[in-house]
Amino acid sequence: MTSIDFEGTPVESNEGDTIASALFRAGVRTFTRSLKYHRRRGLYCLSGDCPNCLMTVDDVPGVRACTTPARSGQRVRRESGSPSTERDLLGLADKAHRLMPVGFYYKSFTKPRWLWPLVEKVIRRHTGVGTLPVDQLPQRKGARHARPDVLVIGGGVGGLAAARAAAGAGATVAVVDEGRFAAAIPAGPLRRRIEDLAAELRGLPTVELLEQHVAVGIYEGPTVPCVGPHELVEVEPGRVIVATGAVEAHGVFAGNDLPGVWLGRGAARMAGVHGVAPGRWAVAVIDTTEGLEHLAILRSAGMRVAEVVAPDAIAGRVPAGIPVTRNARLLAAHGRGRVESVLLGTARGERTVACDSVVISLGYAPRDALVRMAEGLPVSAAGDVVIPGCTVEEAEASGTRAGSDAGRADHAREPAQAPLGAEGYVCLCEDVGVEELRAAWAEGWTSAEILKRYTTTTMGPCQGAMCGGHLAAFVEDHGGAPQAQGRTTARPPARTVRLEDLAGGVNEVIEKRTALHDAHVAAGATLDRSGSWIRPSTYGDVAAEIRAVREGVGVMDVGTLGKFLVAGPDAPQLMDRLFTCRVRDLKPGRARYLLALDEAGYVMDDGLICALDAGRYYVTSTTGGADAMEAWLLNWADRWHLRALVLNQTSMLGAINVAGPRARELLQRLCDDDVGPAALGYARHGDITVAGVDCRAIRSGFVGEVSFELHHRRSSGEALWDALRGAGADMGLRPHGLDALDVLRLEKGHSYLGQDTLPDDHPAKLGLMWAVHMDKPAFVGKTALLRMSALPLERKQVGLDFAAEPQRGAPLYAGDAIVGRVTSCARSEALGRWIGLAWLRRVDGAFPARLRAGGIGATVVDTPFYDPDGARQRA
Amino acid sequence: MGRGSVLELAPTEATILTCLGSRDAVDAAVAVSGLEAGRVARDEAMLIVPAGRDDELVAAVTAAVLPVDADALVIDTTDGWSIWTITGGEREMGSAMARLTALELPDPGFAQGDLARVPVKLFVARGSVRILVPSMWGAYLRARILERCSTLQIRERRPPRPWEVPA
Amino acid sequence: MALKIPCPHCGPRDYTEFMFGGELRPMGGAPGQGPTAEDPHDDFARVYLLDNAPGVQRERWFHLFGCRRWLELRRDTRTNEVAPGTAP
Repeated sequence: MTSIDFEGTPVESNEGDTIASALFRAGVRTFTRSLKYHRRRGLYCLSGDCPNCLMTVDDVPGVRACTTPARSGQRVRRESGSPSTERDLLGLADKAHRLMPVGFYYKSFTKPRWLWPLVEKVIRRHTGVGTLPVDQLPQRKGARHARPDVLVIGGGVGGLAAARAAAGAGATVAVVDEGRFAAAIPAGPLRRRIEDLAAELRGLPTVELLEQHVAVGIYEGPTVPCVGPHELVEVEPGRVIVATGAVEAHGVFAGNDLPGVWLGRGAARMAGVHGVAPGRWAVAVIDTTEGLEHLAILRSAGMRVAEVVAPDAIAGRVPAGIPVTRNARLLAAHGRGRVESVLLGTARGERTVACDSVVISLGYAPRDALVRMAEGLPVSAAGDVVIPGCTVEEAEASGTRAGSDAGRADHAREPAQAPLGAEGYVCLCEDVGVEELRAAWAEGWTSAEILKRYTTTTMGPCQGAMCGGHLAAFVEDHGGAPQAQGRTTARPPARTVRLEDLAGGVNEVIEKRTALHDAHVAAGATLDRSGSWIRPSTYGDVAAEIRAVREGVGVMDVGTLGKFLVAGPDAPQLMDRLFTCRVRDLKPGRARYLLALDEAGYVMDDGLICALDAGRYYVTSTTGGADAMEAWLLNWADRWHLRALVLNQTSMLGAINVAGPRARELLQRLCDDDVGPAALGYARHGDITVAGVDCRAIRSGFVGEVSFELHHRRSSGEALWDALRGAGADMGLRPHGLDALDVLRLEKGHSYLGQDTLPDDHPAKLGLMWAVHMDKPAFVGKTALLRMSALPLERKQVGLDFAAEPQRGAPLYAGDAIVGRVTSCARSEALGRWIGLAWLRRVDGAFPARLRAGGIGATVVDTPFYDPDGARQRA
Repeated sequence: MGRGSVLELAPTEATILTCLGSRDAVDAAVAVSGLEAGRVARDEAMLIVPAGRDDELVAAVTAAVLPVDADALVIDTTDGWSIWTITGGEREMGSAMARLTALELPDPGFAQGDLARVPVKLFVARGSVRILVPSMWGAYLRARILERCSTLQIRERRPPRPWEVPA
Repeated sequence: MALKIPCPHCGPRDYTEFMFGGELRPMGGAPGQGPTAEDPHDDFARVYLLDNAPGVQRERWFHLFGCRRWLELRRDTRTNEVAPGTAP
């Protein structure tokens, strides 16, 4: 004997109990409060179809208590109602339907305009749904792929017969079922047949049985994600057989949602599987032969059947001793908070019968959502889905046909539609009654799809399982135009699914590391994610790191840069036509700043291009642009039919930037090659050996001091890094991270692409026209730049001096108008003031120069802020 | 339980060459005996050179390629890759790979695609899969393989072992 | 979820292995000719005036997770039905 924790009270549960059956045995009758009117709702379908038993289990909201096995120690609570589900003051809402007419969400509380945001908050708090646990990390679930020839969804007789037939024909098969096979079926011929078929399949090596897995939906492919208790199985089958059965038809009559109204199978399941009588005395309304079978099960659990209402064909088969009313209609269930009586309409007038339960077996609604969402895919159906209400033998024959016939489906038999009463709830999930549908129809929403959207019928947790047929019938009855009739479109997911389930297997952080990662960790660096990389932001003292670069020497791991070798006879032509700079006159040993524009003339990326010997080039891109740069280089080589070879060397090469007034001195200590200004001046590059490591040294200038980017084989990274740090120790060398770099580059007025720039920034907006050679015959983006040069510049990037500490992202005001935004800002110790970059809009023909960023005064100034003529970096 | 049914992950070492050039040149590179080759694209192949025969085979590849296409590139890209070998029985290997990738694996042969959300090259042989991932994802991929296959009792073997190219 | 793209080097793969390169518009001039200022109008149409057709569209995809090459695809934008990819 185990027990679950129900709202602080221990509730005992038996072997085979679900949460719902354990609670029902313990006397719980109100399981939820309805969404809008806070009406009491009790157990109804017991098959995971209706929304009446959604509870919070171990902090997870919206769990179906009727299909979730009870486990010891489980914490279960109801999720709707204030202060509690039992005593819900909001039940008053049920007396005030007029305040919440159909579509009220779209048309009430809209005037004055400020009212709605307030009301919306109140409404959202008071709707009858659970609360997401925001402070809890999702549980990580594994994922795997499965590729059977045939996937069968549903482990009833039809599904298992289909699996057996398919396996017999030599196919590999997977069978998925929400529960354990037969577990929810009362003892009898049906249960025995399922158990026999399951036993047969368990012995087959080519059949995989996925019990307790939920097929969420059928997506293109077909791909069927199946969520299990421990993992997500992404099934990509050759074909799918849907054998999800049918749910008993939802009955629509006044009071149809009172606790005590049961679908026949639900009541039979409570009595026959869990051994609990669904009530003391019932009125059973039976239109199906299956309903007759339920009577015996109910009586064996100790339930009295006060009266059976049945048509002539059924009435004769009701066991002796039970009063039968022939050809009557169930007009209403009455009671305060639960069924106390029913009102029957007979040929001789209306009659009230006292009872505490109503058990209805009115027909079947196929669970066909999966079939209907899979149009155009190799999906067929078997069993109750196509032959609603079929016998065990018919289901088995149908399954066998579907399994062996390479997908030839049985033709769907139209289910008998349960009659739609004049009153009652059509949609239990969203609290939509017949009355509301009529009101919406009168307002002019006269097609199934529109009615659905306006009233939200079929849009709740049951996804139309209970109400879809009724909505279609309503439209037909009311004379909807032919194209306005029929079932509404089914789309995945068909079952409630948690995002963490769908994220199974893809919710991991994928981080790139440079060769120096371990060295950074050992040095105590603070590591942060930067794009897809994990990089040091600082080694402890950002100010000292900046000072080292400005006054002595600093080193930084820049191995994240995109690095490419471009070769082949047409490489010079490719480079010249891709980039905005001149390339043909770039002699081996020279490097140049490169700007890559897209065809619309917008800045895509920047970097350096180095001319090597033999018409080859070494190209670097920004860290985040590496993949795009590779694709871009190959794209144009293809499209222009150029013979050029591109080798992405990003992963095989590391790079360390050595920068500062003493950078050259440091290299000289470790290097026999000439690194002097003549041999390796600004914008040059050369192959040198530093501390025994072969390097391509590039003289660049991002931080504004003498800089050598040392590109080297990744496996030599740690040796080079250690040698540099050791040899520079007495110079006060410090490694620096992204925090220092952010200030160093800002002092030089350099943009971070993507942070300081917008997707439609062309070079003129960024002050980069110096890097664009419009006199070249052609380059990508040139014609766009020509066109745009005829237009006035409406927005540009500017440098700003601030009177005090500004905030990044702050709007820039000129007078009362917002004219721009601060994209970068920092305190520059070298300059002794706050500086930043911003974009600025033209106002009345001119760019304003005096601005405010929040409350802070800001003045437009020229960039670079630091060393404007670049003498320091060129040294 | 036989040794073959134990799932193991081991870092692996090999020299890797990348050959870029005309289709014929790459065909010639792939045909050099004594190495394992994966055809990346019409104009690119990845060549695995067994340890100890680097110099000899690099020379052989270059000699095979350049007469066909003087502009072809044969470049040592060893540092660009981190290599992880998974070994085990057929069933365990199948389960492990199903947890890692949606790829349908050749048996045996070369494949390339998405494995654990990173781009990899795979050399599949009987009882082993060699996974080559760009170096910056080496640590990520090791951790991910161990995590996703933890319920399969995967074990990690150290130190790195050389890649044995079948004769 | 499962648009499969037939890669001429790697075989059919899920589209998540690829980077979309947009609708393919023929380049003006002879093959091998780059964008020029000579006919800016033609260039403008190619860059900005995309068809975005509800039907079969020629488009380019980059196989980021596989061969890292571009391929050309004819895809019906309404149904995701594709004709075999060709490498350029």
